[in-house]
Amino acid sequence: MLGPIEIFEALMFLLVTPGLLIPLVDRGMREERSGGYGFLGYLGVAVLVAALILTLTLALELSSLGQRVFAFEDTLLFDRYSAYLGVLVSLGTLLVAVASIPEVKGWSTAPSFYSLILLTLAGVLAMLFVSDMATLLSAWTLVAVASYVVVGLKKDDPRSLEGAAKYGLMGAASSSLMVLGIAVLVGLTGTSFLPESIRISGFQMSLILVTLIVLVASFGFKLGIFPFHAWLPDVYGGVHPLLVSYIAGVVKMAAIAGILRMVLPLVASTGPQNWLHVLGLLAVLTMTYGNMVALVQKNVQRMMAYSSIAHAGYLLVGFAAVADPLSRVTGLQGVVLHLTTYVLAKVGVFVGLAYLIRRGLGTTLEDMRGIGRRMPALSLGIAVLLLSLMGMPPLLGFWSKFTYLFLSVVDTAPWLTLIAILNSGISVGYYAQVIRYMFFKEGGGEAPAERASDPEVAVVVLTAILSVVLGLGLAQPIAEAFGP
Amino acid sequence: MPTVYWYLSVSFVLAAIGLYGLVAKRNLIRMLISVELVFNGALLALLSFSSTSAASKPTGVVLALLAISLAAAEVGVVVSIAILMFRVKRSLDVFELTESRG
Amino acid sequence: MEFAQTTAVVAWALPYLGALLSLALSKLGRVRDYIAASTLGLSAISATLLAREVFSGHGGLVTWSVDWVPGMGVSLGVYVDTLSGAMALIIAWLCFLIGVYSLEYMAHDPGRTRYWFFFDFFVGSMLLLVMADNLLIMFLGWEGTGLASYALIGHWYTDEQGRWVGDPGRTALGVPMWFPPSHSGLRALTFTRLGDVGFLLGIGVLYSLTGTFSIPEIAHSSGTWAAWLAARGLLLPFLLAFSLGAMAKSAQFPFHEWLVTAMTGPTSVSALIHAATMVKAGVYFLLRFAPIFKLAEHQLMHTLPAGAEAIHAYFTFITLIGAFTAFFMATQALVARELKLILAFSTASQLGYMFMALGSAGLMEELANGILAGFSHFMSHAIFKAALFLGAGAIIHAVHSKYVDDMGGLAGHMRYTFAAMLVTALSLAGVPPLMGFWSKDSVVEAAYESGVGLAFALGVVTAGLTAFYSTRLVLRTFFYEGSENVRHLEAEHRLHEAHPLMLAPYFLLAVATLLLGLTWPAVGPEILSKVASNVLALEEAPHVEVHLNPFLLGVSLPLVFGGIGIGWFAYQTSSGRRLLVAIRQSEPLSAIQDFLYDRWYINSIYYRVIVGGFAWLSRNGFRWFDSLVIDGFYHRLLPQSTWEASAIGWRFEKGVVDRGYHERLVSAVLGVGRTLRRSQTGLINHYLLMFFAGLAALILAFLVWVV
Repeated sequence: MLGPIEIFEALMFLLVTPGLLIPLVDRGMREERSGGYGFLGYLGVAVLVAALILTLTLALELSSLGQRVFAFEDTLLFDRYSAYLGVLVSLGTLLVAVASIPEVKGWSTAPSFYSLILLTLAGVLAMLFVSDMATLLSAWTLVAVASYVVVGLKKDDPRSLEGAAKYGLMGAASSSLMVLGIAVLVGLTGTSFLPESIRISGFQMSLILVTLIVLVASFGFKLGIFPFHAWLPDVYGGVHPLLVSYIAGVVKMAAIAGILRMVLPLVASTGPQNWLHVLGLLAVLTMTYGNMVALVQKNVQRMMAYSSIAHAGYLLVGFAAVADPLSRVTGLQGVVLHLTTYVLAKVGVFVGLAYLIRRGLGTTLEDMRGIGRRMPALSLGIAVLLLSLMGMPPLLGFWSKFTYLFLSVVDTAPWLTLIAILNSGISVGYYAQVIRYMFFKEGGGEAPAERASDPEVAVVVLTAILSVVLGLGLAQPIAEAFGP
Repeated sequence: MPTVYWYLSVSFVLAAIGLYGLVAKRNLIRMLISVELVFNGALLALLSFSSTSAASKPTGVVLALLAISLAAAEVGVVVSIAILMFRVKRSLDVFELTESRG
Repeated sequence: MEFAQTTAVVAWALPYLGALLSLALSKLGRVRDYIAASTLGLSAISATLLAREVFSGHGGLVTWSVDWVPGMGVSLGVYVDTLSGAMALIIAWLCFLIGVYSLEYMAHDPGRTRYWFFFDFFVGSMLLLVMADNLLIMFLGWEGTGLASYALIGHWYTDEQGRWVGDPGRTALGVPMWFPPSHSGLRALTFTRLGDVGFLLGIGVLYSLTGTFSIPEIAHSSGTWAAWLAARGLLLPFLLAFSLGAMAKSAQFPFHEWLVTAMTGPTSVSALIHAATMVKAGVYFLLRFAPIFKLAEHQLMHTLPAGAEAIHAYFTFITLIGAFTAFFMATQALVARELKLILAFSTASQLGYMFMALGSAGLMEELANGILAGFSHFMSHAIFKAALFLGAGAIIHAVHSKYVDDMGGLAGHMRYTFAAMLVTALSLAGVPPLMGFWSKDSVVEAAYESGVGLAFALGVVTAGLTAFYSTRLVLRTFFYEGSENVRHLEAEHRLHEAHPLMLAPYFLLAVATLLLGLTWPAVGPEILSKVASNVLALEEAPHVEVHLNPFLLGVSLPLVFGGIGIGWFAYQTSSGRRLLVAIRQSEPLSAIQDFLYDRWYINSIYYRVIVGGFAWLSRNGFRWFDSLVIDGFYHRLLPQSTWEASAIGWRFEKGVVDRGYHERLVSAVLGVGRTLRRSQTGLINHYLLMFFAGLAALILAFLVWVV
């Protein structure tokens, strides 16, 4: 009988081995094969399918087990919440890999691509289960470093380079903040074990609060929280969307994991109201900024970048709810649902944009004029995903918004609910623009038609279908089966 | 004043210098050096905090060593990005990296 | 599921299925159209069977429910009492008739697939809304109708000039007064969405106070939650916010603007949305909730009088809004030049009557009488207004123009249409013994009994205005010597009666309004007491009779006939026509006509004050915003009384200044976004600065706060 520890070991082995070997293999066969590196794509997909199956097994096992499992001298902690998030990232990576096959096989950096996504996934999965500062730091650095390189993989595109430089530099700076946070915690607890709670008094409470703020800054950098977001529009908006789909959908989860494991347990010691106020303020700033600037974007890819910022803001609302024990459970349930919506939607949309680029169109609103006619499945899929992000019932996005807005903070901080609802309303303004351009504008007659054989289209349609199906009744079961 | 506070002030000063460099310098390599400074400030803080109690001393030292190697890896990657930049743009001026904005 | 429950579910689910079929079978062309319309017919039959079940057996109530998301207390279900059973019946049949009409009317439209999809989707949503047993499902249906109306109003989104509402090139206070379909669709959605915010807020409040979305449970616990709100002085604001959705959906002032420009949609859509269904959703809301609020008022009367007063104030407010809307929109119908616009203004005006009746219901001794007055006017208006719209569509199609100026003299050429529209227009005017007379009379009576004198006065005056513009409509369309356009068409022998598939529905409806009216004294009490026999939260089954109050008749009938008379005089006699010409040539009178034609400048005020005001807010802060609004209103309201002296010079001055404001119109909200966007300079040093400065600020702020 495979326990969680064995499954995890198998996962690491499964992901790290090909991840490390692929570049070696490539050295051995220098000549370009006809069709480039296509076989790598299939290999990557096969590995990721296996990874998905493993993470699913892990999640289901932990869910039925009903309790948490410690491993490796308490440096890892398995619980069903993180296991579910692991399923999400595996799915996301798999989808990106499938969608990447036709595009990446012509890149000279293809081996690096496939190797890195496998390694990053390993890092994110590890990150989800950490319970020790050393492990956390290692997993975090793995994810960070791999993602800097992934961003820069399209070597002939100057914006890819620019994105990598900005992301890398700011990431390095924020990593130092994490060390600072660790510093304080080590000083207070005396061990490197991630504390589940701290008993402190008086002055130390403000110290913890400051430390938590610093840690939120460090993790929040990756999430795109205001004022740590500045790199995000440039990277998400300028780099090739296929790469962005990976960063936006999967790498973010590492930051979430960090917050879940390192920050949230300490909230109780800061005094619940303080936490609510800090996160509430950040949430309001982030979502308002994201939504307001998204409204004036003409480039859909950049618009989606700002939308990611706005969604990070919504996520913070869910985290803010942790402060009050009454709303804690629903807040975290909301976070789970929101992450599901978000991973599906962002991977889908960016893959869709990558498809448009591959077929020769750009990603501005003008370029997307009328493509609803020539690429109906793709456009419909994107439209459904945007509606899900918007929070339109009965899609999954609606249920997630409903949970973490209405059910969580409405009692403790109704002003936050109100602002979040208003922001959702504002977001309709720009999502609807995209849908409008796709379906209700003339033009696009010369656009190429979509081909059923293109995996990107399948990925978009699949994520859209999932958003619909999960929204039709699975939201509650998921939240309960894998909730906190 | 207990020794810890001395060390903390030094780490704070280091970090501040590093921050200044990040914000005020144009050359990517200079900025990287500044990042290292900030990091070292944080590292020093780690060591200072962990020295306050006997239990945390070894933990702190081990973590610090780990952090050094991890940071080295991180900065190493950013250096490789800087090399790529130099190859492509023949310059290390971050002002040239402003194609995405707004 | 028992038979009765099946009929209920089929009634709302079948149109949704029809919508999907419209998409899936789009290759079948005409056959698909017939299939889509047949689903509506089947749904109507199902609604009939349901009504039979509700009214005969089952103690006047059919319910069905299935859990959807148990953990959040969300279920999908229906609660069909005599009220919703009757409404569903009327709605389903009207939608079916309009669907039959659409078969021919939209036969050559290239966007038919979209049309039928949204048409059926709309009908399903409307029926779901009316039959819903909980607020979330009701809201789902509500939003469904909103979405469908957006798509249908903007159906001709390619915006050819012939599809616009308004006169291209005409501006009022610097704001353009012509609206293409895509813009109109957006306006419809925006205005109703604004109201929906209040609705949703209300739902949220009720859920948090009662722990359930179920309408019957909310009704039974009304004393509790109302007391809670009243104790904190929140009852009146809550009621108002909760009703905002209904007010917006039913185009009450100040949300009325969307209904006017919604005429850009196909006429069948106008009939569907503005006569039969969507606008009636707000009326249904009040029909459903007025008894519940009244119940709360009774329970609070002795324990918390302040709460009962709040509810009383709420009903008064609804009455006044309704009365004002009725009057306000009728004045605009007087001068409208597009056939469909006259009907649109008329619809909003009659909706005002319904709101007035339902508001009065809460103020009267016998709540049920007011409810029934509102219900009977709903029924009667749906019938005759649908007929008028459908007939208007036939006429517009025949003369190839939407302007009443291009009609005239059609009585001889389109006999049946003329007959149908004459009957229904007279019903609208409230001429006995047609159905419109009985229902309007009961509404006016309710207003009288409410004790709100202003409402009663406005209601009565509006009756006169209604009679006048209905007469004007009939005369200018069918009498009045033919316009050039008509003579031209006559010469080419291109004027003919409408196609049977189009003619039959509205002809049937005209017959219905006639028969119903003739038999109402006998049949009316039967129908109405049956409808009221088992309504949620309506306590006593009232004693219903149809009687006429001589005093009220003495006041209203002269106004009605007077209105008709004046209309006849103005449009059929030569001296009347000379008078019209003189009005057009007189500066002050024609300025008043422009004022009414441009909708009391309300639309312009919205675009300039609300949107323009936002720009001021973002730049100059609240003090400036305040003075601009007050100033602005003063500068707009003032000319209404000093029009003569300042008209010309004032208009010139505003014309020059306005252009500046108009540029800012669109960039108002976007301006905020653009300003924020400037923080993304592209320079990583700035980003890093933002990062650390932000972090420092955050830490400092919270240290100061906490410590």
